[in-house]
Amino acid sequence: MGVAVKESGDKRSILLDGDLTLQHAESLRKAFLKALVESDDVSLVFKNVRDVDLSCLQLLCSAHRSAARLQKRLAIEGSAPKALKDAADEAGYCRLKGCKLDRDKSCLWISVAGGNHE
Amino acid sequence: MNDHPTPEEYSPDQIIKELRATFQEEADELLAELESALLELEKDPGDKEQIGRVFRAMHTIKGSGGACEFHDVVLFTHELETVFDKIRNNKMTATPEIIDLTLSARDQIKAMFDSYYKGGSVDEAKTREILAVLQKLAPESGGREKTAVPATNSARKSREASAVTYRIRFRPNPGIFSQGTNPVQLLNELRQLGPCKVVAQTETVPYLEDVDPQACYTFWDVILTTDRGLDAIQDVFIFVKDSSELAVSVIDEEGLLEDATGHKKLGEILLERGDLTTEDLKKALQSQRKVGETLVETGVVSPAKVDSALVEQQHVREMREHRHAVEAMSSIRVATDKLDSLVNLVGELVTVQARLSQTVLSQGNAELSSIAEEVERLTASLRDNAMNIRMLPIGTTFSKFKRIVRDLSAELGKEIALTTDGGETELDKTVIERLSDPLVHIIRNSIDHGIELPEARALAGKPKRGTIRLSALHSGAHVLIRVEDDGAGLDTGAIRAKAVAKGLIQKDADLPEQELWELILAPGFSTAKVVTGVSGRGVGMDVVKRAIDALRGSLSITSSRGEGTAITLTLPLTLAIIDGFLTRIGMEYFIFPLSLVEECVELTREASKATHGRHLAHVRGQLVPYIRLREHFMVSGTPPGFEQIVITNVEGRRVGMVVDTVVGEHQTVIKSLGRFYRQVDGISGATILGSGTVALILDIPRLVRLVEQHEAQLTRGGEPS
Repeated sequence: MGVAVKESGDKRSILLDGDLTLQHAESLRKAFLKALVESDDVSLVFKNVRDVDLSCLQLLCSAHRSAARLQKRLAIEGSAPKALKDAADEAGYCRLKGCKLDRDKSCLWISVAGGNHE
Repeated sequence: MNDHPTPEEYSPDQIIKELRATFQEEADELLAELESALLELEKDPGDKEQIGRVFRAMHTIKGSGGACEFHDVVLFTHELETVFDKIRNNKMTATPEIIDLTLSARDQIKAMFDSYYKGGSVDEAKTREILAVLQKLAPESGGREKTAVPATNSARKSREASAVTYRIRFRPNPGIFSQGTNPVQLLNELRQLGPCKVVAQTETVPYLEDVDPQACYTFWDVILTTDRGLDAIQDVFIFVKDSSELAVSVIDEEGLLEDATGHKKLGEILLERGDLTTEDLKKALQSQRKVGETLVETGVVSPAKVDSALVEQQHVREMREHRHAVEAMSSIRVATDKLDSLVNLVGELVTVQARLSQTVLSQGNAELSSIAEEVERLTASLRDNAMNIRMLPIGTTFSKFKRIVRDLSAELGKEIALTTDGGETELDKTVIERLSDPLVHIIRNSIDHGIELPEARALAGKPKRGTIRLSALHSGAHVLIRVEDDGAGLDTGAIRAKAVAKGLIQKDADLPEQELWELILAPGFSTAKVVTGVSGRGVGMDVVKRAIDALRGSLSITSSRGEGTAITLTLPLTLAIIDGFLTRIGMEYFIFPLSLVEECVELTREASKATHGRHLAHVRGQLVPYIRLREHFMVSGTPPGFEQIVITNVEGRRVGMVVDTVVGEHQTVIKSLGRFYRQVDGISGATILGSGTVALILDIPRLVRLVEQHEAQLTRGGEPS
């Protein structure tokens, strides 16, 4: 999986190209952390995702919770890929209400559940 | 005191015998379901839904078969199930070979059941042959055989067990990933046990700076409804239960008293789960708002936990609704002979009621008359209800024909699609059963003689794939069943040549097309140039004709050379009781099926004389031929001055029947004639009138045909000798 970060002004766009699985989780974590330190507005762009596992679902959740705590924005750009939706469905992540921290209702799992997929 | 027999009073053999007897019909249905699912799957081998249908049918055959101790069936089906399990899990694809093999395996299972239910033997060699191929397809299935046989007991248990809804909280050890277990896989295993809702709790997932990507922080609330028992749930977690937290509790089961609201309150669920204390709940209840909202806002319970409790509430509600719907829709199986005896009794009642009405009428007692009328009304609706119980949708037989078309067309190298229409049309069970063989004959004929080979079709500018259309629809008191093909149509030249050769018609006979076509219904008639295994032995259409006649039905043929043939069967809805039209000739009573009667007109002696014995009546400017039933049945005595012509509709033509007087409508319970009277033409049965007199039921189409044949003979052979 490739991780690339695009900067445009204060915004950061993280391009995740490939499968989101355990072996890439640590590099993912670092990329999220760095982007959230540098920017208040982070968007995630997925490409060529065919497999998503629980470790990465947790990590996405952690990233969003971290952003929410800092009152920053972290969102999926465009529609979530089908593999992500399927994995979230399978793991029981999809929901209608976000967690306690999700004050602006930007929970990733709400958008994944309701969002259009590829 | 306990009135129920103790278990010792039933021998195990007896139990099995009873179980098997109850299972017989279900087995037929399951095999039919399996067959139809396979045929659908053949059209689209990737169709997950059909794969699921095949799998479920096999699974139930195995389970129920096991409960009835059909060990051979269990072993055999187990292998099939293994193959389809792989297909279901995308480890194999449903190739045409596998579908073919499964279809023959299905036939073999049928043979196994038949050998018990109907006697006969099973071709063991074929069983071994199929098993060998199956094992080659799914090699490890052999190892699982052991678990298949003891499944008989658990299968019986699960048949009796009812669905229970469980609440499961599963909190895996954070190190579960490194143990090589994927918790999502465990959730999927739970999903296989029954309807399931999974809510992941993520509030324990740390922030990015603290999160260890290798650790599992998520825990789950699962609401599962299953009839497989607690053990099955615990089996899912068998390898992780020592290192994980697992709490399973029953939250709903069949027979549990349901409170008035039909579901538990949110606070109650959260309390039970330990997500909320009584104190906090009391506080939340004091506010005027929804408990869930208050709890989340005050931060007492996380939104995900409230969500999860709501999911539970909804799941339980859905399951209960489903259960109620199933209970409401449930049906009971009743042995056919019980139904037959009910219909017989209703028949007797109808007869007695007719007698009651007649007696009451002669007494002129107003009070008694009103009671008699009430009884008449009730009897009529009882009759309709009893008849309705025997009605089945004809679609149940349709599915069987798909297989015939598939197998025969493959055998003959033809491409044929069968489309069906009106499968929901209901018909008396007996009629459906007796219709099956004639329809098989007709469809076989269409495949063999009707539809051409693909090359021939292409040459004729038709699509290579021929179509046979099987349809059913209601038409008054009849059901029309039509078999249409888009094949070559009937070859009138060949039919004529054959009929001449067989001595059925004169060489120079000038017959209209319709009559030529009907010659194929004559015994021993077959125009096929080559005798195939399918048809062409000259038995067939005449047998079909006789079977349809026996059902009081009729058969008509239309055909167009190069475009196809359609055979239409017109069948009565029921064989037991009909609405009749009672008439009298001298002292004899005759009944017309009311559905055929159009109107009645008077026939005066003068009018009769005016046609110079040509038996034609002028009815509103139209000439209607009539038959003098008095002459036909040789009833002695002189006819009255004013006779009645009952005008009937026979296959679209108006034909009159002359009787002395018309009595009126009559609910006619059909009694078959004794064997001695079977040969009497033009009579299809008898009934007993209120007075105890016997009335004969007329077979109008047959009568008309008889008279026509007689006339034709007279014309051909000149004056009768």
